[in-house]
Amino acid sequence: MSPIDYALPVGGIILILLIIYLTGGYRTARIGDLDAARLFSEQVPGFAPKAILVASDGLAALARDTKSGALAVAYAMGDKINVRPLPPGDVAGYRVDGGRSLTVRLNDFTHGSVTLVLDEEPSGRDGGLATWTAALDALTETEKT
Amino acid sequence: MDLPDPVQLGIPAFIVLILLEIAVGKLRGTARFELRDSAASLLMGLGNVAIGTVTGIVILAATVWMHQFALFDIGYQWWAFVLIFFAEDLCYYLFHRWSHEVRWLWCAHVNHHTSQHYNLTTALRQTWTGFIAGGWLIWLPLALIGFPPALIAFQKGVSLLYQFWIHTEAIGRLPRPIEWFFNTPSHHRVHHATNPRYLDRNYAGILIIWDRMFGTFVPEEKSDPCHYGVVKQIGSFNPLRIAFHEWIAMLGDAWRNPGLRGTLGALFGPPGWRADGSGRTSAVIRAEWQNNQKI
Repeated sequence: MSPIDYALPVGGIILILLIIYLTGGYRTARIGDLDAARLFSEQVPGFAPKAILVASDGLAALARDTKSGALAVAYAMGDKINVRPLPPGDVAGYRVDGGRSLTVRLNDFTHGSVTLVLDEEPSGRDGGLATWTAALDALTETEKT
Repeated sequence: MDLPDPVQLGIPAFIVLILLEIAVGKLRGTARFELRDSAASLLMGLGNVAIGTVTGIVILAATVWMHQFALFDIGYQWWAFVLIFFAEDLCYYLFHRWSHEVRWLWCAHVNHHTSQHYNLTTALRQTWTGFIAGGWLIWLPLALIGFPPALIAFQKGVSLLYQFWIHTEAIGRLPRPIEWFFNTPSHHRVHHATNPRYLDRNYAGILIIWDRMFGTFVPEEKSDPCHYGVVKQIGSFNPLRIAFHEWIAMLGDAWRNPGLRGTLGALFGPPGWRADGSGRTSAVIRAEWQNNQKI
């Protein structure tokens, strides 16, 4: 192979990415802009998102089916939103940072954790931070047993 | 006979067509490119070419070795080009179908499906681990029949080149005879979709007739627009994670599933299979969807 055989694909990739960037191709989806409840109910079959915690930056959200106790998570993936249920075994743990953020660690090689930035500590009977951590505790405890 | 490498010749066309697709998308207001997604796809393509320069030699050597036992001396007559066109395309259909139905092969193929976009850069999101998976063995019988190794390699290149242009939303439906006989952007959109109706359908390379013959054909429905990617969307644009995530998941499942049946099922069963029967394979997802349709 001649040097041009290598230079052409590399040069082509740089040119294509530059054009995509210049034509507005760097976009990040925000859950806040969408109907979060519809997002979860459409993409997780049988899941009724009665309580939803959307990060203040709109990059992630947690939802809970208060009847079944099931949890689901959503996070921005470029200009798309990935939504997935969180069955026992998918959650490795979580961390609360002084009520300012909640980080859920996932057993997922492609996306190890989801952080929900919180402007203020969530409150309410179904939506308080304690109810979210209790739901996450239930999942991780189920995994331990 | 010296045959050209179609993919190598096609690289300038790949670049021009991607730029054209971006321009058309902008003009129509339907541009669906995302920088990190396209960067991942293009880097996967580059890595595939780099790895292929090494593994291609081994595959060619294996094909040449197999050819010494050839049943017929086919050579390069005009009809050999016609025969290899159909024979190679059938091999591709089988390879592609098994790559979706057998977890071991899926590990190498899944990365091609991990983009949630469907454009010409997605076509270049190619495997880095195809050699390890061994899907290339499916073409070896062609050498045993008697097709020259260079002719087999040429036709594989033609097939790969053909499959580039069908990764686009810029082209709708083509005239009926073409849609009936050939794999088209419409048919291949179905293949990349995660809608239960479309899961694991339209495995064709160049000719859609194999799917029609073997019962795996589904047409694109306007009422059910394609959603792209994989059932459990991946959360990374890192090519290394894209290339290896399913291998890691499969080995984890093989470790966790109890007994020999569990281990073999995790390695060679359909993607999503679980020993306890709770797995959500494509067949299960489709059956659930069909039941819901009836209700």
